[in-house]
Amino acid sequence: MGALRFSLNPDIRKHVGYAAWFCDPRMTDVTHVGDELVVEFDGDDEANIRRKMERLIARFASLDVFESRIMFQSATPLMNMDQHGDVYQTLLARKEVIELGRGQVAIRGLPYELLEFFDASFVQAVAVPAQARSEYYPGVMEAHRLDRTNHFSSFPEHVHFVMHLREDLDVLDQFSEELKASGGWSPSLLAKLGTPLAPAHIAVNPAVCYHCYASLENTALDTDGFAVTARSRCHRYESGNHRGMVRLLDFSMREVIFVGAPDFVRSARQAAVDRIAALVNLWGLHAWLETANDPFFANDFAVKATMQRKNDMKHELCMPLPGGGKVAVSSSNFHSTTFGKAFGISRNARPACTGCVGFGLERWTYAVLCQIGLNIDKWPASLRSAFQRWQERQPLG
Amino acid sequence: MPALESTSVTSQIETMIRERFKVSVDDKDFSRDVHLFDYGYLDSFSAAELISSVEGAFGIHFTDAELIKYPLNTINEISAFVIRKAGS
Repeated sequence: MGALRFSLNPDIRKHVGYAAWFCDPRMTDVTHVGDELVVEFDGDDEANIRRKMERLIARFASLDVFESRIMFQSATPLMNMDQHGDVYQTLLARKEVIELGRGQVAIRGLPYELLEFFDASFVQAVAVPAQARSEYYPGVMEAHRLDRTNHFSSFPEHVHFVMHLREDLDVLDQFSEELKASGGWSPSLLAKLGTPLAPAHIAVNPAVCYHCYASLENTALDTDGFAVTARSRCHRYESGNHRGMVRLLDFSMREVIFVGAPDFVRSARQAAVDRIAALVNLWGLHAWLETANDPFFANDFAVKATMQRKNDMKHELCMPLPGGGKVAVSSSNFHSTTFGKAFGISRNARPACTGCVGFGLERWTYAVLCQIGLNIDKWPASLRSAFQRWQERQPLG
Repeated sequence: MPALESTSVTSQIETMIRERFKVSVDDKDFSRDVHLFDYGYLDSFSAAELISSVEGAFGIHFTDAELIKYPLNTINEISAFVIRKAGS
């Protein structure tokens, strides 16, 4: 086992620390010790791992000059979150959150209800005023279609393909027999069968809105634009970064999506952000909206990230986490014509613009509980009363 | 590097954007002062392509700090930056 230490400024260290898990399969731990990032790995191939880490550091070096602009700051000051103890450990102890695997949880009781309440509130406060129509999308996407969104080239590290055994009676019978002989499933079982898997044609959803654009393929819009809302399971592989309810492998996302003329999309997005800000203030939560960029996992990260930030193409609504960190609970995006071009969606003979606001429902739930605790009686009055009114309307309790 | 002539640089960049990103000749919204991002002519992907093309065409290199510091939202702004950079 070996270890390497890199002295980096805080922003670069945070990004490199996240990306380090994707550097090499022998990585066993990534920690922040003072100003240093420490990576530990199996084996003694230090030179190779150092080379890859230095590539990553060079890729994120421009973060040295990035500055986040605060676009909105809620009226509620930062509260002492320590007074609520370790909320995640309490939820685990109460069995209201049950870890089922890396980045996978079952949720029941209070956090489940709060998640559903938030979703209903976002629909009511953001989607309804935008006159969004509600749609349903699958949890997976054809790989060739996902490729057209630039997702594979931008975020290859997050891709999770869905595979199945080949349609071949020999393979299926061998699989069953080997399973019995081995006494059950193990990851090495497939390797014993040669090449039993069919080629990957499907990947799990990384985002909700891609389906919206794919479903509009080759559509010519005859209005300024329209809004759609949908909730779907989303899925991102984040290796050793999965953590509690903050970084799940599989999570729920509500999106409100805008398609149309540039002015329509930008103003609809701004109206949605204003409504989210009003909700945050109404509920007495501490949060702020800041300029952000997608974590492009590519050599041209700096150019793409800079252009996104300079042009306000991505904003994130952040909430504090115990211990001094933060989590982005919502994002607001203006994609320009990326998806209009990808799927042939047009308006006035030009590619249509798109934008969206997204709500990571598990993150919202967890970040809010960290702020207000698990004792409903001590929640901010407006949030408590809205939540209790919603509870009374639920048939299953 | 010889001094670049402003109208020629602007014209080259306009042609580059029109051809590369298929801007129709009768697009009334498109101009040398239109905000290329806000009005859907560029996104972060096509901006990366455009910068690479501009660097190649004019023999310059945009540093990360310059990308952040200078306004590069319109054809005229990109052109002004290229002329400043080439002259420095």
